Amino acid sequence: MAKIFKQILIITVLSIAVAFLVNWINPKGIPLVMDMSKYSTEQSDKLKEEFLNNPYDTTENTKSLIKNPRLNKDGFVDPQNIKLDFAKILYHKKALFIDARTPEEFAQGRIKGAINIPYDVFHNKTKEEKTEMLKGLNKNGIIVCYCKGGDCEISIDLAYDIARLGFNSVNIYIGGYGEWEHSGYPVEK
Amino acid sequence: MKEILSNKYLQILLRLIIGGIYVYVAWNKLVNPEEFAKAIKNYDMLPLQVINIIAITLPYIELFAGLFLIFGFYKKGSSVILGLTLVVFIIALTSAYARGLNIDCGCGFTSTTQEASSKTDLLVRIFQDILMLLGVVIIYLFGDKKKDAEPVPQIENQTT
Repeated sequence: MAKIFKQILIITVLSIAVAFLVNWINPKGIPLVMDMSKYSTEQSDKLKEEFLNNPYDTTENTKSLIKNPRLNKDGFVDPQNIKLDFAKILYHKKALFIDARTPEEFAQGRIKGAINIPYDVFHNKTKEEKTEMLKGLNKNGIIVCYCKGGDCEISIDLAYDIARLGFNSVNIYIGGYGEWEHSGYPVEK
Repeated sequence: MKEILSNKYLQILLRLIIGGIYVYVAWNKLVNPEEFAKAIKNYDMLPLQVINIIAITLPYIELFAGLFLIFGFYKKGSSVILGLTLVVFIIALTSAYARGLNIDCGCGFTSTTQEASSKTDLLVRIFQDILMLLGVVIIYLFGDKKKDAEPVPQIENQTT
């Protein structure tokens, strides 16, 4: 038995040493700890609290309620990552949910009432075409972008594309359709 | 049965197949550690802090264990390592299947970008892993005992 443990130890130590060495010199190497800041929903509870303290109908023009839009250095309001509980509250307040997935995925199942703006299509449009596609949407209304959830990033990318066009309250529901459906919340097909 | 499972050629064949599969899948994982890290994250079973360390090291453990198995060195040690990884994979895949996750399984069988696996794909992967686990157990139990077994103490003739 001791001999087998010794073999396991040798193979494991050798593998780990080579793995870290290669990762260190490899241009495709990754950091030892995953950068999860773009998926972080740390601020979601705070945003929810602020919203609950100052609730309003998200379908109405909320410009007066967004007192000091926090513009970033590029001149637009950064989209905010939100969690399931806050997404559900916004859903009941009739926020506009935008599904960033493909039309096929959208057809297979979506958050009830969501509209589909496939990121792959939208991203390749010109600014004028994008503006045209979003014509009729309230720039001060609350928007919630989502995709399938998990590691899916297209909801984040779509949210930034939309925010750059001057939309002031764009949110990203990180849990996505997967979490929403799994939680038994309203979906449609 | 024991004789069949101990058959030298069956043992070599099993080592080549399982070791070969492991080298292949390990290679697909280690050439793109970021994709593999995302695949691990999709299972939603591990703390985020450890995902990258596993994504960096696991493919090399699989690679070396697979190579050792193919070349017949440290057969017992490498088969234990591969067996443990297979048990972990089977648990993770079963959990993903039970939770209805549509995820890239991160099994390393394709080198393409992430593709969501259907529930049937997950079942196929679970079945494959169970078969491989069976093979690894056969290698461990019926492999070349002469070479790997503990040395048997020789009883010397004390007569003078």
